[in-house]
Amino acid sequence: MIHSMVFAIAILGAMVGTTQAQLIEKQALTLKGAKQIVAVAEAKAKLEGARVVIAVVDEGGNLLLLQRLDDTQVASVNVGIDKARTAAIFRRPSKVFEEQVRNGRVAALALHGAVPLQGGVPIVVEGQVIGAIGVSGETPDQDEDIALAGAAVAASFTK
Amino acid sequence: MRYLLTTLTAAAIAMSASTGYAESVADKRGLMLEGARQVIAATVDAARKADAPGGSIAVVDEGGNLLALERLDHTFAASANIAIGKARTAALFKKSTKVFEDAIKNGRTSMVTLGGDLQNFTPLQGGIPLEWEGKVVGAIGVSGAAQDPRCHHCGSSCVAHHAGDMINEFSVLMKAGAGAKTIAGTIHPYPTQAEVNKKVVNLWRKAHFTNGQKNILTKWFAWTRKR
Repeated sequence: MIHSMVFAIAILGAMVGTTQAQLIEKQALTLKGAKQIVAVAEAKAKLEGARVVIAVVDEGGNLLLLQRLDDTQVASVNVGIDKARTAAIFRRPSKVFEEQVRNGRVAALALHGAVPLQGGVPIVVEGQVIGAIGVSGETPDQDEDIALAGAAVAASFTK
Repeated sequence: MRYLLTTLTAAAIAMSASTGYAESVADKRGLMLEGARQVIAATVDAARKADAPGGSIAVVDEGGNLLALERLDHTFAASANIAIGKARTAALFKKSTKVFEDAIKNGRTSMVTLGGDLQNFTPLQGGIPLEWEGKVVGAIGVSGAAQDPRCHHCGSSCVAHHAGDMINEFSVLMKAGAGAKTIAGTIHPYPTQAEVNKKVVNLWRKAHFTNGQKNILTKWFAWTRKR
């Protein structure tokens, strides 16, 4: 008897719980938005004579747009995608992990899906990470500067 | 003296090597980013015209390395890697990836194992080499743009006496979103001119059987004959 009463209360509780929302609103980066980000990054790269790959991934870390500027080393394709994915799924610049490793936290190398290499930066709109940009091909600092220039475009994004 | 001799020999080898230089290195054409962009733009245009539900389009260079990629809005995420794989496969084999899909479908299943050695080997239709003056300079791969496989009738033309009356049947088919099967399965009054509609549809279906369907039918007929 007591058992069935407890059970009934539990069901009641679950039903009350349903009055709260089960879904959240999410912002999604469109291809057009990604193109605007890459265009600015590309302009900066060309200005500096940098030969880089610029990759933009969505919030899930999946590739949306990629450009390998002429004469860029081909290995940068995968590194660029990896940096972008790292920044997207961990919601922080990939530089954070490079620094952790440098400061002795070798365990950061074991993080699934992350490459601890500077040059990946999240794309943020209204405090939400909606994707990330990864740049590879030149020095770590130059890669990141180009990525930051691209990511900054998101500040002007509207629905 | 010995040192001098060594130097001379080295110089002689270097000279003989340099004379052969011209034949040792070949000229190569490489696709540039601008070319890749133009290819993608044309493909996106074609996808829109064909009412494709979306698509990821990848362009790789002749070494199979990614040059540019675009994933159209709302296209499923996995398509990005599939598109790269298709393009890469087409570039490295200098062949349309349909060749591999067909070969595997027609029974050469062991071809799937090519993926063991080759990173991202994707034997799926949708990868095509890009050629320039007869040389492969890269490849394009498209994924996620296929239409709903449930086929329906899209159009007809008819030349005959009373063609205007006869084509009604196909108009109904289109309106109902049905396929050729519907006409084939309908009993037509005999002998009437409209019966030819059914015959046309049957001929079309006969010509469009897939290899798998043919296989099953062959076995079925062989089995029924035995009985």
